Amino acid sequence: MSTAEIIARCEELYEDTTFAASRAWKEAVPGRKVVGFMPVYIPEEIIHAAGMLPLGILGGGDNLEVIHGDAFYQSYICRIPRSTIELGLTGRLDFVDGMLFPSICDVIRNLSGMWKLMKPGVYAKYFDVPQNYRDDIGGEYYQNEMQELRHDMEKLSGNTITDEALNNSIAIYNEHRQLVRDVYAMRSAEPWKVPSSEVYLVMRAGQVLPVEEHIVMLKEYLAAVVKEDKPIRDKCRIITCGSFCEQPPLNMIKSIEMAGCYVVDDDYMLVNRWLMEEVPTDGDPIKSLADAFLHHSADSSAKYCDTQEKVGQYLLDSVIKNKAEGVIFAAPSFCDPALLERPLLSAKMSENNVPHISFKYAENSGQMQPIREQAGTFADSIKLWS
Amino acid sequence: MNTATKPEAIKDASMLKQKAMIARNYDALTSAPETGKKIVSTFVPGNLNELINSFGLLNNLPEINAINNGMRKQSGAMIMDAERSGHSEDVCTYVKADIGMMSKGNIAPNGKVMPPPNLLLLSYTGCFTFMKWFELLRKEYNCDTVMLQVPYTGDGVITDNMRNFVVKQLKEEVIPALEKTSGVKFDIDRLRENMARSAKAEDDLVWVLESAKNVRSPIDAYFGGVYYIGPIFTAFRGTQDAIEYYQLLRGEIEKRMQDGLGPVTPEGDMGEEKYRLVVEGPPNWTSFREFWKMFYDEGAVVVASTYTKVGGVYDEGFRHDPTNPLESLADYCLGCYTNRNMPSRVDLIEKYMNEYQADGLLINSIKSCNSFSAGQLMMMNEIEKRTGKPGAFIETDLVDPRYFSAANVKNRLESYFQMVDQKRRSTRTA
Repeated sequence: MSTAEIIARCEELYEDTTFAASRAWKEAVPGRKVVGFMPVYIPEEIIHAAGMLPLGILGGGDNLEVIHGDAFYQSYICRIPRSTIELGLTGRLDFVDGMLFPSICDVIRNLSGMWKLMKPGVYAKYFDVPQNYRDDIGGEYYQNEMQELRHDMEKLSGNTITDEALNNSIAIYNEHRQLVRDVYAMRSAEPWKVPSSEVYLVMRAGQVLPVEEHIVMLKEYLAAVVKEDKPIRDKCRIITCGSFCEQPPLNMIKSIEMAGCYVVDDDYMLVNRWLMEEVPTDGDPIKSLADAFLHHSADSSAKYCDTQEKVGQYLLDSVIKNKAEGVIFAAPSFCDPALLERPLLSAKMSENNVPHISFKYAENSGQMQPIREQAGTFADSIKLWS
Repeated sequence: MNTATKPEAIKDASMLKQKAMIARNYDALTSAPETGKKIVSTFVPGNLNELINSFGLLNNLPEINAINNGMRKQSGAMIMDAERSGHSEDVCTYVKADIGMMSKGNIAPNGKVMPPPNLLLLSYTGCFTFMKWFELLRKEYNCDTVMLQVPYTGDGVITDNMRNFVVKQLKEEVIPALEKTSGVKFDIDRLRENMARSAKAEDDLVWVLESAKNVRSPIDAYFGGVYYIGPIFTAFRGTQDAIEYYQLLRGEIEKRMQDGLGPVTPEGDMGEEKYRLVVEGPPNWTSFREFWKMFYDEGAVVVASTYTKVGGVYDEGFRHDPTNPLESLADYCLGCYTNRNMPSRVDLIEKYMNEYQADGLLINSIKSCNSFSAGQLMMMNEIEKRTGKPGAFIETDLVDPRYFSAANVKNRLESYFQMVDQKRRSTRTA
């Protein structure tokens, strides 16, 4: 399969706000169930081990007209909860049997309770994660939270989640995570062959497909992309940061590239990369997942940084590893985690002489010219002056 | 030239006592470099005042500083300073007022320099912003930091896992950090004594708040309420001062009830009680008196409010329990209003609407505070549906004067009171 064919399929999935692929998976076998989850991270393995489909809900993008959702929120609340409510109230999520709202910010947290009020018959849970990274404190708490989730998923699915099943799911997700890392590594090595818009679409597809199917897609994409013969352009290498929850419109991702930037790292689909190392598959699976979260998970604004020295280090490490020449802080309007942390991250970049700019967007932003101009000027300034 | 002078606010003995307590506390904080006292900065919701005091440490609360600066009309410039230095216009103005206060020399309300804290105790309760706020402060102060994560009660209950997690953090992270900062060994008996004093003051606070169940309420449980909660939410819970303050306050309210008086306002006793409201959300601080006046001029009394539960929901029975001090502190933190899930918040408001015989629910939606604000429109609809009483929605901010539009708020309130009248008439004729 060519990259064009793969990307066409991904684009179709991206644009489909009815989640036809996930519905089809559910309808294929009687009794199947689907559990939706919001950004940024949940242990999908637990849902998978129960025989259910984890479905990533990333808002409605720029294809969804939000009518009902706006009636639930003031003007100063970000867009993703509005479009998620819209998805819920327009029947687009009527096939979803449960919804998980991970710990990311107060808006998504409160949405968990709104979902309970809005859909009293549907399982809805706020899934907390530890901000204390000691095994005997945060780890113990998190293990117990995951055991509770495991129990809930057993009840919802009607299936027992054995340790063996969970370790098997971890193994499958390990393979998935490795392939995801391979795609990002390839983009960093040869960004002219692997446009960010393509990477984004391929990663988004993984939110609505069964993991096994997405593994096949990633393999096909990696195989196809090496055959691509695209010319190297004189673009600068940049990292985008701040888009881990509400996603930018695809046009914005394309606009940054068209403005003269190769995006060599980003946090758009952080959910696929949250656990950064292979999770052991031969022990207590809940403990393995907890260890991975505490000690080998991605840093992001949604997490507490327990020492001053570590603040922004993940971004600086990425700059160094990916040989980035600058950072674009692109955060959704009214995003507390990203916007509160931005001064700390930008200070870290300044202290290390990494050029950076910042702007805001909404998932339905339509006017890309200002962003293209800003990113283009940034790219030019790097080329000319750095 | 306008020579008109602002009328002096009328103050009861309890008000004078509270004023003196606050002044003493600020003097203690600002004189810490001379006295050798150590300062802990922490947040209001889920604060561990009894524990902090048991080590002889002083308690500094950044939100209270921001409120003080807001009420003294100084927060606007501080916020703009912070925005000029890169803080987004979209985020919490408490944070920006705090950062801006530092850039202006960190001057406390007593006009003296607020010394840097010796420890940042991040009580991460019911508000995501707290977490990043303290990361920002840590960069400024470069001092020791300890975090207490309080899990959100997403299913509306406090589980053993949540409680154990908080207790474990208290034992293994927070108490050792306080011992290190103070040089004092943890004394559980001292903590118990403080908690016993807290419970005593909490009894009287609840009595005061519940006095608003009387039709012809002797208090305003929002505008007056923010003064009533002052000592219990801040540096005085667990002190003899707090016990005495609440005894004094209770005596004053009892007297008002005997005399058939309504709430006390900055302009004296309030006139006829025409509207009884429940209010959800924090007040605006930059135009606090102007905002309050819009209510008492119309005969509107707030009989219950959720903001007065943000530092503890005592009227549902919780008391600090000296027999199980750490577990009780955990339950206190876990039970704070904004740490409760949306259905629990709606249930609480519904209960207030019924028990306090309210005419309606008013939501003051605060731009800065997503913890409170996200979902409030749904809350209003739920309450209207459940009680049949009208709701209204106004938007202001905590300490950013740019987001208080007096004309718009007044207009909205007047329309709302007309709506309440209309509803009453239609109920009577039905």
